[in-house]
Amino acid sequence: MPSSAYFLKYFRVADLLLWAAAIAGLLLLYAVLWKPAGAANELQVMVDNQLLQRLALSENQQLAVQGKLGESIIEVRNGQARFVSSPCRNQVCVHHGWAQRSGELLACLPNRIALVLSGNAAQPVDDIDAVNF
Amino acid sequence: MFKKFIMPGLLAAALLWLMFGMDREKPAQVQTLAMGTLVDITVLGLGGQSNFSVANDALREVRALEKLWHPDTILADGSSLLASFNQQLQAGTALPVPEALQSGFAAAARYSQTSGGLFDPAIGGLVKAWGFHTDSEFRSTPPDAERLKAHQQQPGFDQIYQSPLLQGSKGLRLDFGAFAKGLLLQEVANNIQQQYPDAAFLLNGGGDLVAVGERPGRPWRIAVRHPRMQNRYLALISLNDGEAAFTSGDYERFFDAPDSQGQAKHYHHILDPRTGWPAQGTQSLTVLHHDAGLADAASTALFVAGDDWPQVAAAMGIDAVLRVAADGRIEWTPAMAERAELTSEKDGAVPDAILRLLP
Repeated sequence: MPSSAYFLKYFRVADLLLWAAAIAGLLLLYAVLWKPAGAANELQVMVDNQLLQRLALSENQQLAVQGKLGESIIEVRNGQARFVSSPCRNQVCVHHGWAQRSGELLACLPNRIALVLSGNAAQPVDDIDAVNF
Repeated sequence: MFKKFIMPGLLAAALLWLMFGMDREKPAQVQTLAMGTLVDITVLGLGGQSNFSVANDALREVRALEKLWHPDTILADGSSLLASFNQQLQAGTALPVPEALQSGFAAAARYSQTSGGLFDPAIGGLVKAWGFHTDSEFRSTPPDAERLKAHQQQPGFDQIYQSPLLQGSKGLRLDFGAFAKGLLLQEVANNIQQQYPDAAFLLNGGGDLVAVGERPGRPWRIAVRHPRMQNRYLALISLNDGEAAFTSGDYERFFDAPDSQGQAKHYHHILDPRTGWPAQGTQSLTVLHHDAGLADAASTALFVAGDDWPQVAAAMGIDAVLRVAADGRIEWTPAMAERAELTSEKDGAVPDAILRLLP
């Protein structure tokens, strides 16, 4: 039977320090790796399936992106993003309106431009994995 | 002397186990432009690197399958199987359906029949007349009414398809736009499930969804978009393992133009095969089913059915339906009412929904 003497013999102060370090490391890993779906903080702009650039959603701005047909205007405001205009005829991208959730997607197919919202803010806004439309 | 390794050994094992557990749950999310929309795939449960490779393999499969089903020859890297079949059909003879398309044709014929022709892949010519098939022909006014009448008199899909033959005719254009996305996503889902039974994943084809497995500790949870209020959700739904959610709506692909009396009109892409014009009476209609191909075809057929949708739902074997009618009233089936949670209005009130029983 292991007794407390057994633990004292093999479990020293250094072990305690190691445990503490390991638990701290775990918590850190958890914080880094585990991202619940929530408000997005980053916008990835893709053209023809290639990543063109990453934008912070915290910075309000308008951006002109050159696609296959011409220039699409993308707006970032208050943590949301949308297509303001696009040279496509069907305007599906403009009709979609604002996107704000992490994992939400916007695309102008004719102009081959896709916007992907990612990352997460400190506080998740909801528990939703995707929007059905 | 081995005893002094017991504690550190246990510690290391526990750490590895926890780290591996977390790594398995780190989702991989990848996307590509395909099937006329943005396809987005999230995979978890296999470990960071494996999640990624499975997701990327699935994207490749989507692009390969897309080549079978595109109705026209406008794909960047060459023609599609359906496109060349469509060309051969112009000769007007009965032709055997290419093998890779046969099971899809058989399912489409079933749904065409059970929906009473409201889902009809033979209306490709009509879709083309309206210009909804490709951006370069997108219109700002409705096509000529006489031209629409001619298309409307064409036979439906279940009349020209006698497995394995399809009766061709001049002007016939098969378009599986109301079905192919569901069929493809279901096939991709089946293949991932077969090879990686432990994978949990969400396939998102331009807002139509197939969910398999769960997020750690909870099911995949989705919001259905409100058809009239941008960035407001109509309802929240937790999807069961292997379930698909498909919505047909009038708010994405459309143009507004004055009609012959000068009244402003909303012309959207979901066409009624009976009239040749955009279907009336519904703003959006959502269907849940474990077969994504059926969910896709049914969401279109029930949208076209207007107020008579419960009969069509029963005939097609669909029991979970959520609909917003043209006047804004919300209707749902008992099976949907059990599953969906309507989201509240700005003032906090939950909107009323009318329970519609299936015959």
